Amino acid sequence: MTDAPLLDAGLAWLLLVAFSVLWIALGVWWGKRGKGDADDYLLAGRNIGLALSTATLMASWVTGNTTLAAPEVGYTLGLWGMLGYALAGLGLFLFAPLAVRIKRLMPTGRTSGDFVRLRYGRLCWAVFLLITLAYTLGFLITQGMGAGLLLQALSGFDYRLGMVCVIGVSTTYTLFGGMRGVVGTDFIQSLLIMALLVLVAVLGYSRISVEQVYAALATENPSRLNMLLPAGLLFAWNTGLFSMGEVFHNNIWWSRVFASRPSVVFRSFVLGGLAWTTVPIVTGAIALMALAQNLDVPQVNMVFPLITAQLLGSGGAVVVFIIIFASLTSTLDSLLAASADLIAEDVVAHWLLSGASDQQIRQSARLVVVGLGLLTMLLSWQYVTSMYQLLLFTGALVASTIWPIAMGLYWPQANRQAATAAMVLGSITGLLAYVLVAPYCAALVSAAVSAVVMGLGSHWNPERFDWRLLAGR
Amino acid sequence: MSELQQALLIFAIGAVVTLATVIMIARGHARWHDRDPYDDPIGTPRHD
Repeated sequence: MTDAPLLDAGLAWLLLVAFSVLWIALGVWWGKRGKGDADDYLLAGRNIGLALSTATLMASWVTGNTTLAAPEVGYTLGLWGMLGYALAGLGLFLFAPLAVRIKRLMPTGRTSGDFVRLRYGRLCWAVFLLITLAYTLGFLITQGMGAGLLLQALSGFDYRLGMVCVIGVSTTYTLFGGMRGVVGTDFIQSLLIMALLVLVAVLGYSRISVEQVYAALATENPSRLNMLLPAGLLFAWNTGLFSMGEVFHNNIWWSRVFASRPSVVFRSFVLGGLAWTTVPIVTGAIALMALAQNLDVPQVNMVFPLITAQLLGSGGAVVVFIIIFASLTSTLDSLLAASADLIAEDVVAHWLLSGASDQQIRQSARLVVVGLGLLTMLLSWQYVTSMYQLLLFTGALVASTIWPIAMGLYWPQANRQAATAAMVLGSITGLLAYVLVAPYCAALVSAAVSAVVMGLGSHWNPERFDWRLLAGR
Repeated sequence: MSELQQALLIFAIGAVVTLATVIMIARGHARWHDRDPYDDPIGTPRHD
């Protein structure tokens, strides 16, 4: 294999322009519907039904990492990589019951920050904001870098050109469309991702059967079938706990709860989780096919695009371009909208500009979308580290929020000092594990320490929280 | 401790933490199922 791009430059430009125009047009069009107040801009009028809610959850959770890193770990760790990555669906499944409780407790809530501030007080809220902003920036950067790398590998575009195009498109339609535009485009993007992934898998496995893949792996790469592979064992639960930390704390998922109708929140998280889980399994299975066929893979993080292009020719490269462009834009728009929501509500309305009007909150959210888009471009300007390593680093931070969030929603005894200590100590020990043990252990250690601190702290000094305090914002 | 033993130990810790989290959420969900979201069965709430 040569390093030549998989797509002809002209075709790549055509696809980029066509999908950019489509997303922006749809986002702006959907954004014009509705009343135009802050609740409408930030939460799509709080009236999303089951299909749109499920689709936006699935599309937001299918990130550039899912389509690039899941096949990478399938290729390097085999079955454990594929199944372990699929455990990230646990975050969405386990958030389903929490979502029901959130929706009933906080009917007028807007952000995850609202909950932490009202439930645990301002000190814990400040720690929480630091964690979520660090995670959000890390996540945005991985998506920005992923966009640049992908377009470079697929089309021969300059890294920065691809990165700026994808971030620019997502920022534009999020700015004008708000949450309504984000949810609408997510629906189309999730359908595209699912349909094309199934197409790739079916076409791939019609050329080489599952039995042939198994036989080839058993002969040539038996470690990929070994369920006692040490690296695979380290990887498995870390992914599940990392995903819980990501979903439980981040405003992407809380804003979907607030934006959806009460009757659909539980089902949409379960269905969204189920739909998402198929993605790492399908892309991981395609990576196993590459191993079975001894295909040349010079860059392991590009295994999915390379294999699909090799299996399906130039049509495969087009399919990969669409899948990954949709994955990246659907995640970037959700991150931008939810982070703008969080910053406008928590930082501006409850801190810098106390008592801000509806119009001021809406205007602040718009400014934050633009600011975050530009900041992401700036921070992604240089490709500095592996996307997945950077993301695992943030796992040490977010996994520390699992127990404070979940306990705080259900148990009145959950103590505010314990919650703050759990987040701080969990994050510190998780980061130490990342450096001293292995990046794959960071989220696991963080969650374990945080759970012990939260459980013991609340047992020794129980709080008796009045749930009615959560009813208002 | 061999590499495999270390990996199995971390796998076991991960399984315990995940299971504990699942149990905590399931118990919390069952506790509030079909109940007024603000109707706390545990004592008088504290206002602060």
